Amino acid sequence: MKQFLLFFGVALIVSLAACSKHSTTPDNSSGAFKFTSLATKDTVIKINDLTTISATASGEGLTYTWTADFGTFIGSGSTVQWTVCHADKFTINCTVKDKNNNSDTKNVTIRSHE
Amino acid sequence: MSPSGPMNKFSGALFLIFFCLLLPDIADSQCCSTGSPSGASEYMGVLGKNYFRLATFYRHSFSDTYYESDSYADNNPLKSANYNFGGLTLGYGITRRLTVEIDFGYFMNKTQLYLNTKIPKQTGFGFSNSGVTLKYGLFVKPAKQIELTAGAGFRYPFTRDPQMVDNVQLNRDIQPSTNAFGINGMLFFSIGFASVTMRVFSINRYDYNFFDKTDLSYPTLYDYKYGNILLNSVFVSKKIVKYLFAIVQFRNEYKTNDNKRLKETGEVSNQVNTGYDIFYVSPQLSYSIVGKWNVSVVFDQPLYKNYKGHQLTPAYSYAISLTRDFNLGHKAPKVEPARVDSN
Repeated sequence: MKQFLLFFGVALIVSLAACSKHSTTPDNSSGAFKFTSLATKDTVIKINDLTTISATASGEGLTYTWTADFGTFIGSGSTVQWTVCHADKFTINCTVKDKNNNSDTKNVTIRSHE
Repeated sequence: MSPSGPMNKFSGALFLIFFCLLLPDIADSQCCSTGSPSGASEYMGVLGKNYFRLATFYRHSFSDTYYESDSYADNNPLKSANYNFGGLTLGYGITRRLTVEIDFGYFMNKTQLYLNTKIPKQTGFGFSNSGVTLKYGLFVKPAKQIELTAGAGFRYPFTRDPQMVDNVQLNRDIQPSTNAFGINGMLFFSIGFASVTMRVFSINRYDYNFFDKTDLSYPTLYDYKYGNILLNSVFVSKKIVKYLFAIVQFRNEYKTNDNKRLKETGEVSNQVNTGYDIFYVSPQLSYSIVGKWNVSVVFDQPLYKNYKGHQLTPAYSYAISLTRDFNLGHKAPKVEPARVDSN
């Protein structure tokens, strides 16, 4: 019995430990990084239609990370397309990070209708 | 309950299979998703002391139909959606009344095919939420084949960040995890009728999901919360021939709307096209292999569906399970795992 209680304990600890938290510490010493703008081609779309969202930024080794409270992205990098299957107001976020871990986030709001 | 013996062991496992396989599709049924199967641990009674239970299952679900309220709906974004899911549950009887379980699940795929050919196939995969459950036998009368068990537990995600591909977040509908914690409570009742080799079970369960914290790595404006689920089901099992059992489950699932919370103000709003009320009938066959391993197949058929808004609805779902109980004690437990056969 002890062995199995130990087994359960280890299994629980390992699985909970996997619930990790990520964090980044920006290096603000670099002045070259700048996230200029985030723009969407359409602020209102019909559901299931695609719209294009573009991020403009400067710096070295830029990475673009896209998130949204809902919807589907197509593509990656500085320009993506986005669609959603129901009518509502949605926020699309873009985080740009350079090779020195400088980062900035902007968002746009898109409303979809039937 | 009946005397111990080989028959008891596999029949106890058969009992488990009922619940492994007939689990509801819990969690994130939304406008473009058909939901996620929960783990395989919730719907059992207590194990005997020193009993160890291993249960695995595989489930496939396919959807190609939309509903709005209780009717078919047009203007649909998806051609179809499907998922393949594997689950594992480990259970152990700490005392004759207290059982602990841990369950894990993994989506091999969670896929959406769009009607719009400009949108490529979307696929997510990975670990679903896991759970830990404690169950206590409130009323266990083996001789009368009656059991009343209460359980409580929590569910946790393996990661609190959404799944990304090329730094792009996958659609919430195909995320393998809710990325949020949850708690649940359940009540289980079982009664056997030895003279007609039948058994009747009931399960009442409530799952509460907390808001996620998806800005741990990436700043977002909102937290998201999957709706809470109330599940009520009744099972009837009947021995057909030796080692072979037929079971039918009648199950109702009610899910509240998902919520979105604006971080800045704390304002909470309902998410449209989330929430449902579904009534299933699920026939099942279970067979014991050499009295040790138990294999079971089940088919989930929705009979009545009522969705809030416009949502993808499951067309069908089936599952196969393999289960075994191990008595790790030096002697037979006083309280055997519940039986499906009533001989």
